[in-house]
Amino acid sequence: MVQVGDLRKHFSQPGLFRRGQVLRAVQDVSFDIAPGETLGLVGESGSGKSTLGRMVVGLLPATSGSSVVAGMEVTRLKGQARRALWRRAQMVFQDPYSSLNPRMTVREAIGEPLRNFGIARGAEAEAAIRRMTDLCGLPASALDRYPREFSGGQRQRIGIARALVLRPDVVVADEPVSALDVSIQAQIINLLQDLRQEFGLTYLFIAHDLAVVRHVSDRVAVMYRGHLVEIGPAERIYAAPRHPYTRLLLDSVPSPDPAAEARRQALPRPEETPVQSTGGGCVFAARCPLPKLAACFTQQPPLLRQGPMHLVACHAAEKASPA
Amino acid sequence: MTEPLLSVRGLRIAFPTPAGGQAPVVDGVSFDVLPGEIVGIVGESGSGKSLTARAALQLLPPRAAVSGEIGFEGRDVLALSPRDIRALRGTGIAMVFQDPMTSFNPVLRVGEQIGEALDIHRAPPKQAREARVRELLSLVGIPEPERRARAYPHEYSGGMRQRALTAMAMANAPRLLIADEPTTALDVTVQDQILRLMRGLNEASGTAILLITHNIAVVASLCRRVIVMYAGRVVEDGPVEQVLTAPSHPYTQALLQSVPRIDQPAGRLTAIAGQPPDPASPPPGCRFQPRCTQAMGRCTAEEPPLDAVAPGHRARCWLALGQAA
Repeated sequence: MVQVGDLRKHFSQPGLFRRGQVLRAVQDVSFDIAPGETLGLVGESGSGKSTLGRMVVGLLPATSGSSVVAGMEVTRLKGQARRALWRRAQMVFQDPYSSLNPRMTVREAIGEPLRNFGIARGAEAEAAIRRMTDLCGLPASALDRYPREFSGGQRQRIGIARALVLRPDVVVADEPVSALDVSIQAQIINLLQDLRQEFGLTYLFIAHDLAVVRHVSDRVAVMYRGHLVEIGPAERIYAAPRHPYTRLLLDSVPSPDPAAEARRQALPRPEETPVQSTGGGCVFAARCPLPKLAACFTQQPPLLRQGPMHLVACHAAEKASPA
Repeated sequence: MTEPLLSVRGLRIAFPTPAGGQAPVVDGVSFDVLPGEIVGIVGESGSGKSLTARAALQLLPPRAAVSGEIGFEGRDVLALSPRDIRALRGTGIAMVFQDPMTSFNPVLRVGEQIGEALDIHRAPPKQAREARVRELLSLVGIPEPERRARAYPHEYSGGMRQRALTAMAMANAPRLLIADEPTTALDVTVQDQILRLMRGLNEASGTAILLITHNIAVVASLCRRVIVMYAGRVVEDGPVEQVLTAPSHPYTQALLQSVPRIDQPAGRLTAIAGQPPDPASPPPGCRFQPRCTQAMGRCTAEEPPLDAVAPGHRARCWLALGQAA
């Protein structure tokens, strides 16, 4: 359903002093997502995960590489073809409030894509809007109200209803629950799971919260400073991470269970050194706790198979691999 | 028995409503923090946790109507004059906020700003001051403190800024550090470093910490006692091991069940239906009752008191108190 190949995004720095420098936000990232599958994409701020998500559905032009969504080459679409794509692929954002027009009622906001794409009007549109609001857990009384009258969780429901009213196959969700309170976050995660069942949706689920990602994902991809460093089945990534960065991330997450948290704190942890530029080598070398090889300082490791459907970009993990 | 360092009794904070009334957003909150203790206040947005913390430094907006008592080392903080509260800030109670960028002046060097914090109370001679700034920066784990002191806030990463802010808060060796969502804006690896830093500061200097957070795992990581707030009320408090392992209040139970965990496989999360009440019109009886799956007749008729369910462990729930009938 989604095939991303060597997708790259470089920004040239606009500033007065750094003119001419290039920010490598996303570096030659490749992955596939099968129909009905959820791929979780994790990474810290500045890892390039949001930039990648936007390029996948064509909201941001790629510097190079390709993204094929539902059979369409996203990076080269224009005009009508672009509109055709957006019927098949939609985005859900962290803050639905900023993407909702404050002067539109909920009915208008959810119905707007139907009108814009000439899909339905009148009674037919009203039926589609009502079905989607109902599926998203909004009361019918919400339809005549304005976005500002709703809490964060309800606004996210509106944002999701608007994204799904065109019945897309692919949804890129960028931090869809990170602005919400814990109890509301669980409601929205459950809703996204229900909608996936209902419509057979394919998700690219982008989040910094590793627990949320584990919860929703079939497979998980880990990004570090523009590079995909590990990708594999969720169970494997969480139970037996192979990249030292994935391990560092997982070891850093505190547990709400005091006993489990005490065990985590007892783990030996290498003191981290501040991130330095690493020249031509592995992007993670400056923070890496593993014994380094010569290649770690000269070459960015390629993503190599380390198990069933499990790819890792690490010179040292490759050597340490049991088989 | 140890005298509490901070003692909050019947704290009530109300804001005017558009209809001309007063909406209490913190309503009858009482708790203690002992010297050297780390206490967490956990709650969702609108629970009143941040306002409770800010009241301890008189940092509330002028239109807030505040009543009750906040005692710090035996003095009533709410009754202190502006001059006395300034004297208290920094040496007695210091605070760190969620966003360290807005807490720093962008055009002054970090070392200069930490030095200013020292000057407010003691104004040490230049050399002693610079030495103390370097000492504070290395205390919070900032490498090359001499060079780093001369840098501007924007030259720091998010984690380094939070460390520097913590250094500034620790400048005058406060007895109590109030940390309001200190790690919320940070990446998980940096959060882990800041939590370790706070644990270390507490152990090394005996500074008590009142941690305000929405993140239960952060409480489990740092605190010995926890206070759970819901809709302006304390609904449960007690030792972290008890409250997080065997919660008494249905809200605490539901909150723990709704948190996804990295050590648990996918499955349906137990969400809490509905939303917290509007402070201007709280529901009758228990404030959690409209969302509670275990609510009974008495819960809508009468609000339960916050009472002991075990030594040192209290809950505001008829069921937990064995008085549901």
